[in-house]
Amino acid sequence: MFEIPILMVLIPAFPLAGTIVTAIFGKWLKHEAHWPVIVSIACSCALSLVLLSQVMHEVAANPLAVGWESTFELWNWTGVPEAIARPEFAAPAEGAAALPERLPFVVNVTLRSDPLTSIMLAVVTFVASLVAIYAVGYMHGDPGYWRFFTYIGLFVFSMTMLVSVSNFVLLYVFWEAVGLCSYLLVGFWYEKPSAIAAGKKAFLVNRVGDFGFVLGLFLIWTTYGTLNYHDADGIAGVLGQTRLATSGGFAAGGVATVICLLLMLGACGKSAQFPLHVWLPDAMEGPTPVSALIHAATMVTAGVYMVTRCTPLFVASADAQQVVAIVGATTCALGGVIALTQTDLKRVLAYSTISQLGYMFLALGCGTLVAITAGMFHLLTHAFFKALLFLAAGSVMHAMGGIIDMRRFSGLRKLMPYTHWTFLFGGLALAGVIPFAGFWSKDAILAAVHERGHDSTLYLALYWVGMITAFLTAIYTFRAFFLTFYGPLRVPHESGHHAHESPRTMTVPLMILAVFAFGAGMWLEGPGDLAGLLGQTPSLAYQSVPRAIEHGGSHLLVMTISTIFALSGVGIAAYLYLGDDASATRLASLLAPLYWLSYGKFFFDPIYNALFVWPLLMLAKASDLTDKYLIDGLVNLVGSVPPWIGARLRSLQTGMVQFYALAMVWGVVVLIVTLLVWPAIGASLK
Amino acid sequence: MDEQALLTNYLIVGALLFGIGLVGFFSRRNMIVMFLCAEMMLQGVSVSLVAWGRYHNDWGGQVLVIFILTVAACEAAIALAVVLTLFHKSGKLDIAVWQQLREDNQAAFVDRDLSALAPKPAVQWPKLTPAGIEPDHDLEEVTHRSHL
Amino acid sequence: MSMSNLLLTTILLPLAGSLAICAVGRDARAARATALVVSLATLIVTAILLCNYVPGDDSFAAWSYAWLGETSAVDIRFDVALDGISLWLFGLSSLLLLACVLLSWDAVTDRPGTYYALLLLLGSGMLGVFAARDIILFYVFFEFTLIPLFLLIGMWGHEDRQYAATKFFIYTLAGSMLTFLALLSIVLWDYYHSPDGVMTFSIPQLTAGLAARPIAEPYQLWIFLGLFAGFAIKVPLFPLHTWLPLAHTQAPSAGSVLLAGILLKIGTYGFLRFSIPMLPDATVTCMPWMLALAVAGILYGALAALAQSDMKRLIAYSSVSHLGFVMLGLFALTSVGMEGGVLQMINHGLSTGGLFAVVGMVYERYHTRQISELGGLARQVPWLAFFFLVFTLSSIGLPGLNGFAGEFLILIGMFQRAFVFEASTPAVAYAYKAIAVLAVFGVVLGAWYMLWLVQRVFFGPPLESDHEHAAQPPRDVTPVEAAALVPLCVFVLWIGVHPEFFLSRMRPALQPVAQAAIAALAERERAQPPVAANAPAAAVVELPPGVLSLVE
Repeated sequence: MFEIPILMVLIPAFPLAGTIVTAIFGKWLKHEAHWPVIVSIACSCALSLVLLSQVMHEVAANPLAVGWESTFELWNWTGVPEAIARPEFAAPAEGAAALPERLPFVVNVTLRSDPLTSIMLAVVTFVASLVAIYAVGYMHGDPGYWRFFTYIGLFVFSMTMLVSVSNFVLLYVFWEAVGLCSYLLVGFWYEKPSAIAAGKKAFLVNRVGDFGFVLGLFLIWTTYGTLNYHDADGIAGVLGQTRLATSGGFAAGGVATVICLLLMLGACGKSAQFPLHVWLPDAMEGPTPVSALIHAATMVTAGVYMVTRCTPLFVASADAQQVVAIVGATTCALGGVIALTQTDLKRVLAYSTISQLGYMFLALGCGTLVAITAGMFHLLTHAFFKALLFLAAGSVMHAMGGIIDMRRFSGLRKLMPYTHWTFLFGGLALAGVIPFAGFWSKDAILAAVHERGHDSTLYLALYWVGMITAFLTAIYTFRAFFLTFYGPLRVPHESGHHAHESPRTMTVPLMILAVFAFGAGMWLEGPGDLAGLLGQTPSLAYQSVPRAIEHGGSHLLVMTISTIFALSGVGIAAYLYLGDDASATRLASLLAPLYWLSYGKFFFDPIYNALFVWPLLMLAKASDLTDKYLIDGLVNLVGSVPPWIGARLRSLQTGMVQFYALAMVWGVVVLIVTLLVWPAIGASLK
Repeated sequence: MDEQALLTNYLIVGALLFGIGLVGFFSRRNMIVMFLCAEMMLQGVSVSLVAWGRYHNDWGGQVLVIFILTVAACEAAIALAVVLTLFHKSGKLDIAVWQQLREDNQAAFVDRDLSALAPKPAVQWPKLTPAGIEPDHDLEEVTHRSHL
Repeated sequence: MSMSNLLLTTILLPLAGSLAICAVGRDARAARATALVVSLATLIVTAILLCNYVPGDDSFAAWSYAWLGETSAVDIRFDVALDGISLWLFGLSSLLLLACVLLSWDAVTDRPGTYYALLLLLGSGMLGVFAARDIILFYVFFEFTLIPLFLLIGMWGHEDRQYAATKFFIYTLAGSMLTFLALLSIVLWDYYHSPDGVMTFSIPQLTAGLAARPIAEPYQLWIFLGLFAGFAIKVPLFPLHTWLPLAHTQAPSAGSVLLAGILLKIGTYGFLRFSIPMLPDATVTCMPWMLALAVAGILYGALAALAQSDMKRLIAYSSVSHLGFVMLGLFALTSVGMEGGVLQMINHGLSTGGLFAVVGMVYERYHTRQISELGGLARQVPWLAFFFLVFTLSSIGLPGLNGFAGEFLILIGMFQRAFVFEASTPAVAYAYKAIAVLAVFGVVLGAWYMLWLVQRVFFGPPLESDHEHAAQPPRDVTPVEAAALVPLCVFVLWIGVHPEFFLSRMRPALQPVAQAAIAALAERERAQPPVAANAPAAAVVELPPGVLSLVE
């Protein structure tokens, strides 16, 4: 019954079926439209867990040096038999004969499972189930109820496919598909201009990233001659076991760096990393469950997943890895600083997401196995606690009648006890307070970076950036927490008299997530042995991925420092926002320029508008004018030649018969003269 | 008279006939006269053809002339019919009346000199009441195609 | 009924229908019913043909009749058949013809008899041009499509229709005259150099003959330019595109659909049928220029589309951009690129045809095409918005829909040309790389203008200015209109999910098309010292044998 290939097919198939059913019958189901989607996602989640346990069993049974994977081909998307068949290669150019003479271009719709995929599947479907249940309460009464669940189902399908396909083309397909779902869900309330503008912005910024991604993909094809991860049809896949088992199976040097940087550009778009992070805060215009599911827990981690998957490519280029680390650390700090001053609760969380994703990229940029598993570890714990925080924020928003500006409400802890407690759990996890989940994963990352810092000043600097951001994280998290739940009770008038705790469908998922935000870190660090399992993923089992040496002492040191930082951050937040209001304002005026930059989000939007959008629009205008006047003008000019000649010749038509007769006579004269003169010319030429 | 001289004489007569016809065709505006001139050119050519035929001792020339005569007869029939129709249309035999077939951007030809030679009498004749006879319309204005 | 007769029937059915409508006269209901029955029958017969097609058959359902007698030394024929290249274009023509009839069902009330007669006439022309295997017959159908469309634009178009129709007609006709000259030169060359002394007009025979006895190189170039004149205008390749936005804007929506969906493809089809296989040397010489023009069209069309205020004009410019992709695929001269190019012809027909159809429906309901005068239609006409979104996503190449499959293969082909194969000079090698990267950038721009259009027209707050409409909201998609759009959507999805189904049937026919050109390219490189196009790939480490091919 639960053969691995069947599971691999069923996991995405369930949400797809749920989507189709909702899309067709949603209109008639009305307020029951959530059932098909929730049931199917829950089934998918259960199957994912079964798959995970099976994979764990398989991995334990056959610990291979090159990792464990299983693939299942569904159908042939395209297969050009002789994509490269060249009489064209006159002589193999020196050093360039990397590709064979004849090579097919085959793209198969192939599903795979390996530890990385099965873990991602479990997290995605689990969080999605909880968010879908939560949405039943949150979206209650919305006119687009069935539409919402259709999109959610479509998203879960795309996301599960994204992590389980075994080919770069299909990765790109579902990469874009989750982007589409994000576009549709951000713009879900399509009559709100800001929402639809945010959706468009998200799509376009992602397109810029995808521009890089797809270029990288083409370069992989031209360099490796295949786009499959795994070995298939007699061709060694890009991340296949043959290549992994061979030393030097990967391109090195310039081409490797270029490929990795282009892939990283794609990851920056999807995972909202600097410089393409600008879309994520705006994407908060969408319904809050969407923010929790897509823009915190799952879709935005696709970039992390992809870079992890491509670890062997990145290992081949130290430069590219450093870029990844620098981008990660920059984003991490940037997000942290901006989150300090935002007044919109969801935006604080959005910038915090950007910042936390930055941590993951920082870890991936270290390139050691320990660091990469730490990055994935953070991905998992972040999925739990950030989804929790968003859902709790959504609960607040729900009670406040759609108001999310923290200046408009305060002191909600009595009003919304469940939300208050669960938010606190999430906040502690985010701030990295021991023993909450975030502490373990963030600590693992910082320890791994610190370890790289032993022989590299760059990584040591990045380590301190990460550490200081941990401090900032604690401040902004508890700033938001205190501003929302403490102080005098104030509610905005939009909430009417209905300011109350959210219904059970919303609080139960919160509580479940709170449990995970508390315990997931401990479990995965200890008995769960995430690192051991992930290490059996083919890409990570690759021998050239450096295995870091444990420096037990330094790990403890890092733990101590980060705990001190986190606790002092919480303390400062408590001092500033629990005490008198003036202290925070005083601090802001003290650091006025920094405050101005942070509050203005470092002015990325206007800068990008001035640098890219505006010039392109001007270019568009110029093209339009060129088209109207220059090109079409030339066409019309050519078109006006025959009438012009005709107009000149019209004067011959005088209407006087005698004139015509005269013309005939002259014609005859000319002919005769020519006839007489021509032989003479011919003779003279001879 | 030797053959050469005979030929020369005939050719001179033919050329004269042709030349007179040509000049007449150019200078006269009466359609019938112009037609006669054209016929005369035709006859000039016929004379030279006959002359050459005799000179070369070849009947081809004569045969061709008979052809020309036949064609000229047909032509005369058609041409006179056309002239008659044109006369019915305009009431005049002047070919210049039909210059309205010219292109739009061409100035009309006006017989300025003739009108200058025959100035209008200064005497003011009594006029009919406006309701009387239809006044002369400017044919040019009425019939000229204003387009193209 | 044999397949040959079936093919002939398919081509002649719309013609017969057109005559029947003339006989029916002025009765509007009878006219449109006849048109529907005939176009539906055409589609069914086409479907039967397509289902029976055997991949690899080059003269499927051939039907031939010698006009001057079988023994004549001048071999002009009424010769029709299908092969892998024409197969899907033929099918697309039938599909769009039916869609156009349904689309006009309620929209056309002015002289419907004449309208439907012309529409069917156009249908016959389109079907014929793809099936023709004789140069004269091809040219006859090629021009034959022009007249009905000229009348459709000129009589049922919008405010500036006569100028648009005249410009469209004269521009394309001027080009196709040169094309005809070039085609005749090809025939004459073959006649003077073939041993059997028969002047053949048959396209397969000419292709084979010219492969054996290629045209001398300077003549090839001139003939190529002659063909270029007609086909490039038809495509339309930048900078010969200015008739297109005008014609599209002014044409009635069925005219726009067929113009974008089918007629533009005749240009690319011509390149594929004549220029590339018959004139390999000239193709190789012109290749860099063609690629440059194609990418210029991609970027320029996209940029110009960004600046438009008229929906139809915007989509017309997007056509310029998309057809640039098709040309890029064809002239990259790689098998992947070529398959992508042909697939993209179909894709563009479906997605842009669909877009024009939906815009036509919007126009019919709101009486404007100005983007600034519309907004928030998604609330009033949600299904219309849905269809528009589907075609938009297909058009911007969203993976999983058809546009992606085509664009992706084209770009793969182009990247192969730029980064794997050698180029004749370093300058050309760099140019190819730049072209490949810029073409990808065109995809980004494509998303921008289309999403902008969707955002402005369908989303956002509804415009309240028009109280007349507020009182009585326009109806959503009618069943008849849905019947026109749904089949297009089905194919949009089908090609996106399983392009191999379509590709595998065209592949055998595409294989030989570029063979001569690729051989010429190789020869040229052999003459010159090869320049490695893949300079970065030079860094690729030498793999031990067996890594790239496991099982051999």
